[in-house]
Amino acid sequence: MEGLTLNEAEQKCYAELFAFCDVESTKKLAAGSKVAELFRAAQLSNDMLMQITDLCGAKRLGYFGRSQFYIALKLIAVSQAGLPVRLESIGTVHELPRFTIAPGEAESWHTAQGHYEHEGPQGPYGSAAVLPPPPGRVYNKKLHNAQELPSTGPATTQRILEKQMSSKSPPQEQTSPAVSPQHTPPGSPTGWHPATERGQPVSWKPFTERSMGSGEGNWPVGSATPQQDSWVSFTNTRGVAAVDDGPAPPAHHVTVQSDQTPARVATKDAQQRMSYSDDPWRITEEQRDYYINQFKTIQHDLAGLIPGSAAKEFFTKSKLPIMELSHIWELSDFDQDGALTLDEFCAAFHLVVARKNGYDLPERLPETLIPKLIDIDDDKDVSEKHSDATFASSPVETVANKSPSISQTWVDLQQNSEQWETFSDRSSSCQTLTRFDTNITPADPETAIVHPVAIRMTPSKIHLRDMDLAASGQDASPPAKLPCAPSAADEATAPAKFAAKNNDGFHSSESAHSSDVDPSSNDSSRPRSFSGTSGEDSKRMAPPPPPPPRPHQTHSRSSSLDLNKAFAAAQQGQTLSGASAPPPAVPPRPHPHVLQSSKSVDGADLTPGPVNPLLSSQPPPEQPNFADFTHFAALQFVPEAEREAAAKEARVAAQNDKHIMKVEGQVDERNTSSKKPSRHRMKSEEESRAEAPAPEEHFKKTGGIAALGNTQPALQRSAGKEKKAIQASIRKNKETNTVLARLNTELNQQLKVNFSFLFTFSSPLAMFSSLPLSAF
Amino acid sequence: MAVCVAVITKENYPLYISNIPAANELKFHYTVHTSLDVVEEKLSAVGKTASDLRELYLGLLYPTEDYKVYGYVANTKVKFVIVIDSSNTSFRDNEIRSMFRKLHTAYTDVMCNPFYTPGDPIRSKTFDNVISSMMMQVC
Repeated sequence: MEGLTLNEAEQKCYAELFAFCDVESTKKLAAGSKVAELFRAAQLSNDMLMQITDLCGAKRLGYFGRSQFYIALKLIAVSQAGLPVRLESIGTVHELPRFTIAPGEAESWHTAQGHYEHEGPQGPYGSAAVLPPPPGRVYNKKLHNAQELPSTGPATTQRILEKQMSSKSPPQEQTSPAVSPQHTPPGSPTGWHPATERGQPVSWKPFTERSMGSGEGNWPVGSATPQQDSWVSFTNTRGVAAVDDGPAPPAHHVTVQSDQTPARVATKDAQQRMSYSDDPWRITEEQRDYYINQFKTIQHDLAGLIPGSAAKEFFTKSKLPIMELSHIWELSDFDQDGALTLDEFCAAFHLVVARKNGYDLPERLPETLIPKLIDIDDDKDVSEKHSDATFASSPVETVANKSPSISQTWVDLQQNSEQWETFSDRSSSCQTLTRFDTNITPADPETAIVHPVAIRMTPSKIHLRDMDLAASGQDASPPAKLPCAPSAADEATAPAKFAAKNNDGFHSSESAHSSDVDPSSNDSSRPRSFSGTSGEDSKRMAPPPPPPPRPHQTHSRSSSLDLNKAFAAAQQGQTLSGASAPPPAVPPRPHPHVLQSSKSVDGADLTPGPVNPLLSSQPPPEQPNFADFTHFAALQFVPEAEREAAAKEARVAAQNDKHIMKVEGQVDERNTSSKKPSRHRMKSEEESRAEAPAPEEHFKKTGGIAALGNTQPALQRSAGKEKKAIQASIRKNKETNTVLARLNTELNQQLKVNFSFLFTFSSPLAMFSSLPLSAF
Repeated sequence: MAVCVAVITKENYPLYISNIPAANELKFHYTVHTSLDVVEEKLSAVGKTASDLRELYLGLLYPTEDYKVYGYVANTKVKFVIVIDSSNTSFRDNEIRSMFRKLHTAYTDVMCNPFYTPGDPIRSKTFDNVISSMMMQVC
């Protein structure tokens, strides 16, 4: 007999088994019932067992000495590991042999009851439920739950053995509830000292399997029951420290182990029926009960969480490689919180058991194991005492059915998490947009106010009114629907509402409000926005061309009295200090000057005919306007500027009750006048003028209703409407662009005309000049 | 187009390096190693370093003719490095950031695993899957 080295776990296990089998304490295990039972519990074929007995020398000796017994056990482990049974291979396998409850019974079960749909999956599955690592624990549980008390010898011995093993077994050691040997070998074991080596005490999985099977399946064979009971008792005795070689009282129920090492196999396993479904990943009721019990050993609160460290400690006892345990954790920790809920724990436990039984770990968590995100069965998972019966497989299935959907949603959530992440980026960009929007609208209430008035009858009125209001600081009249008016009104109200603003701030607030108002007002915002932009453009371009005639300052749109007031005020302001009144809110801007000049020009511009003389008077006052508007012209997208220009022009137009033609005429005048001051200014002026009339025209087109609507909604600013403001401003810009383009063409034509005039004039002058000379 | 993802601890030894295609692994090891200098440089420049994500994201560390290297540092000084082939259409900054965020999340998931001891090479299949999906998506 070659030397046999056993690791510590193996040594313990074997010693216990030997003691278990050695009922007679003769140190010899006759090939008696116990040994036979034990070997049969190994789930090996009889031939294999015979071979093993031959190899171990028991046959030769006629009995199982300790060494023979140990060798036999080792060979059993070897054969279970799949290696050829050879004495040489003994040293290679250091796993504990696995024994099931009643090998014979198990076999009978197999044959008798075609209960097991598959031997393989179910077997391991059964054992899966019974987690091997500390099989002793399991057995304890099983015994505990088993009502019956083992009364048979084997059961007793088993219990004894269990107790012994439980007492001796360290948390990680496998105590094998060895089947009581059928016989005790006669010979005395030759002494040999199993050296302790590293060992992976293989869980008594087969044993557990058997127990599982027996538990779950019917207890057809009476002997099975006691053995199961023994198993159960074995597990229960686990907590017992005393090693009792003698027959333990059958009724010895070990208290449920309060071992630190969670008992893998619950007694419930014994009771568990072999009602496995085909799906090895489905947790049966018994298994679930067992898992719950195990959960309680760690965490009494079923609704609580098992921290990662405790779970690690628990599952490390399963003797699975850390990598596999890590993978199992990744699979089972569904919410990735580093802790295990009851469902997660059950899933993890189930995976461990499955892995222990040879199942490869799946890449993804099976649907049936996906923890319920919604704890539906929490009520059912009561204490082990109650839940066993209540916790049927159906709930599990139903839950499983629900869990996939929940898991799907969870997966979707996880998938969407990235989207959420990206969304955050987008949100920041949105903010930038909003900020941009505010920047786009540099406060320029005047423009907004003036803008519509220039072209439209009603808008102009409203604009005038608004401008007056803004100038006076009065609360803006109920927002006129004029495009510019609303903005003006808003601007007026803005300063009133928002205090602590300097002139610039005032304007900015107003403009901001106007811009905000534009988007805020749904329908009216659009026209208002357009008007605003166009107004600004007009303002910019036209160093205030004489405000387009304000047809009716009593625009029907603004039915409010304020409008009328504003109209009157605007008129007054226009007539008197028009310039000052209109652009009250635009202190920094020289609009007033422009307005004044424009106003002065207005009178002159009333008649588009004599352009030149009028122009002569205009240039000086217009220059500052030009300067201002050039500034605005530079800010193409600045609606305020446009509004200002538009407002001024609107005022002028309102005063003169002139329409687009007038504006154009004014523009022409300005163009010609601008020629004198500076060419570059002309361009800007032209642009501004083009913009001014364009928006004005546009305003006319848009109609005063829009302006009215704008003023009214203006008061309803809301931060959420910034986007609308942006869109509105975009539209405005586009419209102004088109209008400006048209204006450009028109202006060019006028320029040509003017040039032609010049030429015509110049030629005669030359002639005249030449004449005197000639005369002389 | 090749992409390489690397996770480096604060002691500057790699926890995880993977690249697609799987060839020239050593080259990527070298690249990542050299990028550590740039990372350190940026880290020292940050100085007070808040936990601001933007500061965590180091951006393009340095480009070569073949690829660009992006860096990202976690609060625990764990560095993530992504190498992207230059031939690939340049990624928007947001895309790179999202990749790093995914990487960070996957890394935290690995850390949450009680069976994983910090400092060990990352051998998680789930982590590998996340990385592979990210790299394939990039490809």
